[in-house]
Amino acid sequence: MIRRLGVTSLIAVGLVVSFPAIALAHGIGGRLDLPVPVTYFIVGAGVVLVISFVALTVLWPEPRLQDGPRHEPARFSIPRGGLIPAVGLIGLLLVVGQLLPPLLGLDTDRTRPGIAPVLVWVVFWLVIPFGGAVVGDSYTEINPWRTLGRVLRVGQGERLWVVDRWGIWPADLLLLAFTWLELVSPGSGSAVTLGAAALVYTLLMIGSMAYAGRESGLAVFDAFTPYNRLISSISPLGRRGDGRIVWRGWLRALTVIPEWKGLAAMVVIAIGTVSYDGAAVTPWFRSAFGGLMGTVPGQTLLLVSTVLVIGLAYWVASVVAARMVGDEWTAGRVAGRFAHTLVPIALAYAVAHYLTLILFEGQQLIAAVSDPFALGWDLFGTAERSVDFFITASEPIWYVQVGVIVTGHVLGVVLAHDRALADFGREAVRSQYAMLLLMVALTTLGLLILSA
Amino acid sequence: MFWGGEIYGSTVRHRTWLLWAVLLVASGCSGEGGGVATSAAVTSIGPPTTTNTMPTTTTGALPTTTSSAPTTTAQRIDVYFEGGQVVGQDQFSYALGEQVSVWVLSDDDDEVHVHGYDLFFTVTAGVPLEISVTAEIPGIFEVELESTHTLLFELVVAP
Repeated sequence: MIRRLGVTSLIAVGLVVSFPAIALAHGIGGRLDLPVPVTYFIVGAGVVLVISFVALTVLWPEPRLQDGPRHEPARFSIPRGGLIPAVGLIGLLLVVGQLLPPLLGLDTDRTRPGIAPVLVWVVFWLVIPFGGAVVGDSYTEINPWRTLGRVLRVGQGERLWVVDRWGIWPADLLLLAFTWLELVSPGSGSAVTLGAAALVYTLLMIGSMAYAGRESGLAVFDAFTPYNRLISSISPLGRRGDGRIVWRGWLRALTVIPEWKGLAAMVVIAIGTVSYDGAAVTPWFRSAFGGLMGTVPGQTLLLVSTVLVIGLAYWVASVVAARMVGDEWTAGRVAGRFAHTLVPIALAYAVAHYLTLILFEGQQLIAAVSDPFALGWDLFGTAERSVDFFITASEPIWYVQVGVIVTGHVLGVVLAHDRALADFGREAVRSQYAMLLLMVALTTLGLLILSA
Repeated sequence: MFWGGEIYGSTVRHRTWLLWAVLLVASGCSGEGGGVATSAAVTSIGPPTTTNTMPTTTTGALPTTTSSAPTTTAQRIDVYFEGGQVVGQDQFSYALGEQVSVWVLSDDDDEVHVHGYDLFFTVTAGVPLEISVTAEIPGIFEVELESTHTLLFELVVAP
């Protein structure tokens, strides 16, 4: 194992030497967060340890969340209709449309970013999932590829066995590719690259829907369908088919997420890629992997390695838990049964990491709507609006970051405890020690990355 | 590369690999008097407004910046860009309100983009350029060569 690692790193070093230095790519912006002061870290980590200890001793003795959401209808509803899908489709057209100016030979203003980066990296990648975590799934309806499939009449007739056979592994790989585009690719801030990527992805989705049916195709091949499904399951709110808002109850939707093949991998990818991006700017990561950081293959290697390390940690925790509870449990089954307990941690990582990106770079949307193609337009008179970095000070951001990470940990611990009670029975609760240890490790890592 | 890596139409340049024959031109420490060589003076910008390509380099002009050092010093270079490689410190840290002064020397004409502050400085090959900004926005900001998105250094402004 160690020898192979050695060989791999030799190859990596070889690749490094043949590529010029490139900048860290964050998809958008170029501002990084200041580290959280060490006192915040100590307090946060201390709270996590205390909560974990208390959780083991005083949490409920019977499972409470496993029977799933309650679906108590609220009094109001949001009608399903054309508006939200239309917004999604317009968004997609604006991104793919970035290919037009170069095709038509129009001059673009380099100092203006256009709408694509902020639309893809802030609205689509952050605001929609995070919003879903508050108000319930909003992606299903805004998903431009579903709308496109409906308009083009692609994907009638579902082939459900595709879901059974592949699970969400194709979506996992595409999610990893998407984060690669965000975090590693030097073209992540380029409108043309994003336009081309969106076009390729659109063709891929049309093909998938034609192959497997609209819903099955998107469930298996659209990275963002399972991702948003996972993240939005945290919300206590949901929507019925008729548009009526329902109260699902706290954490109940998470326990009934179908155990698709590749479910755990998606959570691991979500945690791993954000960890990589956070860690990549810390001094200790740079001094350890500085040579690799300078190149695209090196960064790719580090991104994938970080995901694999997180995955390995989860696998080890699953193996230990399976050993503790007995022969009928395999590590793979435990990994599938507990994957949803890491979803709050994944969301917490993402929110803490991307909070300021939304707050600051998200403001670019105001300027970008006036000149979506960077052609020098000023449709709404806002094209010259620049980012106001003073809408909040550093301290509130630090509080929110640490608070979110600790809250994610608490929710994860509660979910794991409840699932362990349901699956292993009361006497086997000690099996969750491994998961608890993993969660403490992940949370501490999250705080460490924030404060490094 | 996954979906092509085109950035603003410019492809990443593969240059011949020069040895890092970087001449360390007296680094900041005072000493030799005499006239400063070529100094591309750059006016410091107050408010963080978006400024489009600032043609501030009146090549070979006298240093018009408010140089804090009373004595003239030999040209200081903090970050070199040569043969596709960046040589120099990774980060330059300032307290809020301080005056940023980082000297950059590139062997290629390009633009230097200070993210966050969204300032663009034109750099001419072989002519030292001072990145001069008032550190008004807290955070860590990337300073890049715009055409290739090459990270020169990070500007750290502590609150």
